[in-house]
Amino acid sequence: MGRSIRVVTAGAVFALLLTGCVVQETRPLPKINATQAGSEIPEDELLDVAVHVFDPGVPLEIAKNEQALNKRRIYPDIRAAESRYVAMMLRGTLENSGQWGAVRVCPENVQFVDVSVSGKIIESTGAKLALQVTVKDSSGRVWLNSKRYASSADTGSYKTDAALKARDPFQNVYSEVANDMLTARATMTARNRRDIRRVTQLEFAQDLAPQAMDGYLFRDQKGLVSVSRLPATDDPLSTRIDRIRESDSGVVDTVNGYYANFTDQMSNSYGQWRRASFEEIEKEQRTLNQARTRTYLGAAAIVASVFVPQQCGLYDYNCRRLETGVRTAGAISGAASVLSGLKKYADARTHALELKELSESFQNEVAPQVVDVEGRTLKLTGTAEEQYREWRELLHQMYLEN
Amino acid sequence: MRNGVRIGLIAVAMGVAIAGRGCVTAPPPTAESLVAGAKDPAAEPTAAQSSPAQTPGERRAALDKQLNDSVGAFDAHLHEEQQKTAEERDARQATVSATTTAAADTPAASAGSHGGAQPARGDSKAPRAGDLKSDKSAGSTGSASGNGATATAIPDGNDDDIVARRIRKAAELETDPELKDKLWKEYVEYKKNSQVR
Repeated sequence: MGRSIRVVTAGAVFALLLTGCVVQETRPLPKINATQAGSEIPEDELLDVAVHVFDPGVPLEIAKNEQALNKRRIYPDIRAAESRYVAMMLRGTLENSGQWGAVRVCPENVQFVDVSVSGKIIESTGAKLALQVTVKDSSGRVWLNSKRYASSADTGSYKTDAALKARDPFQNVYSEVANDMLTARATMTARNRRDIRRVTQLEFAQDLAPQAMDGYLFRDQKGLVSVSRLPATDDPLSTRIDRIRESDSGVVDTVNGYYANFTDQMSNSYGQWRRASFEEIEKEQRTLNQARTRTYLGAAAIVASVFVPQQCGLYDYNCRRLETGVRTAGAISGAASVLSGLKKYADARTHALELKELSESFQNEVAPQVVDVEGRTLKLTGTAEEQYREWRELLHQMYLEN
Repeated sequence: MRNGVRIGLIAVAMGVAIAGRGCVTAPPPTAESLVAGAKDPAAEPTAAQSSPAQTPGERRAALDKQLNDSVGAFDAHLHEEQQKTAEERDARQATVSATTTAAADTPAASAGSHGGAQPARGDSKAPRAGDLKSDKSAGSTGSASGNGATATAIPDGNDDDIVARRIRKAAELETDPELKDKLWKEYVEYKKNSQVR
């Protein structure tokens, strides 16, 4: 009899431990902010930043398998929208810090920028955001190499609509990237920073007029680019190239404007989707944990009631009646617990289905917006590419004339 | 005899080449045509090639003009696009403001509706990213599609952070009244948001 009690006690402790493991942290997170510039940075040291549209991170092997995607909570159209949204949020954080020159979101084919940020979405739901970020400068120096950033959602942002608008639930991730970029920049001297700007300028010039601008840059064995000489300040070709570079900045600005409008357009619905996604994921997790606990404990109770050896003497009928009663009660409550666990699994599936439906509805809303912004971007960058081709030819002719 | 044939062939080839050069007297492409559709300059005659009698200086000037016209036309095209984007943003802002006002006017709607609790766009945390604030020449390429005068008083700049200082400076230096107004609005909005933060 004493042993039976010990078994039941052990079961209770096991149950408590199991419940203890599944407590979820849903308190608001401490807020991390991007370090603000304390003083004015000299103009010739301000580095421009291009945040490239992120890789949506849809694994190729399951890209066509809807079931597998749903299981991993990947919704391709939402990811396509997020790849621009996340870039825009990072841009906002960098710009607000006052530490950088022009910070713009642009497509991957924009190359000639002082610092370029590219990244991949590893995970993105209303509950968690994980990104992989790489930052390089124009001289080829790698500032951050596929560094992973992840954070749970700051539940404070989900409390009200105003809170959601005031601070992104994953602002900490963007702030951490901004602060790491700052740390990397701090390792450079003012001269390094000025050199990066010159390299960018000369790389752009070399792309437009390869023959005329040859020999100004030097690439070492590690692939790092440095300035070997500078064109004369009154060099007419350089002046013309600078004029074209202004137009190029205009292209990047315009594309950035497209992305800004897109982000603005989707932000309200996206915020609502994120909040709903967070709630459904939380409910699903909680229900799954309850389901597991109940099933395991129920199964344990049934096993115990069947397999715990008899403790009573052969002729101790009272004891045997009591023992049989305990065994029966254990088996019945175990079975009830297992059944309750199974019901909880069904509930969890319902929450997963609700999340899927919500996501499909949001996908239907955001997909045409993605197509629209991408179409406009491609049209403009395509026109610009054709223009550059023509300008390259004109510059080449000027070079020959000179 | 063979030499005579060769000389004849060379003479014919030279004649064809000269006639070919004489054909490329098409006028230089206009700036509009350059933006409207891309052309392959290698296939098209340029201004410099069009008149063999031109001096190198004239050819350079013609090329320069062609480049300037082309870049200018492209810039104008970009400016149009930026203006369109700014107008779209303003229109959306107006819709959001109208929705907010309507919701505020209707107590039942503001209590229960999903859109009712949504604050005006100006309350959002981030500065409007489409305003080309990223451009260091703050406002030089900005759109001039404002929709009214600055409604809010301009706060004093004693506690400005670096971003606010930059916007304020750009607003003070701006000569275009419409753009100036937009920059002040941007400044007021930024200050408001930074206080919320």
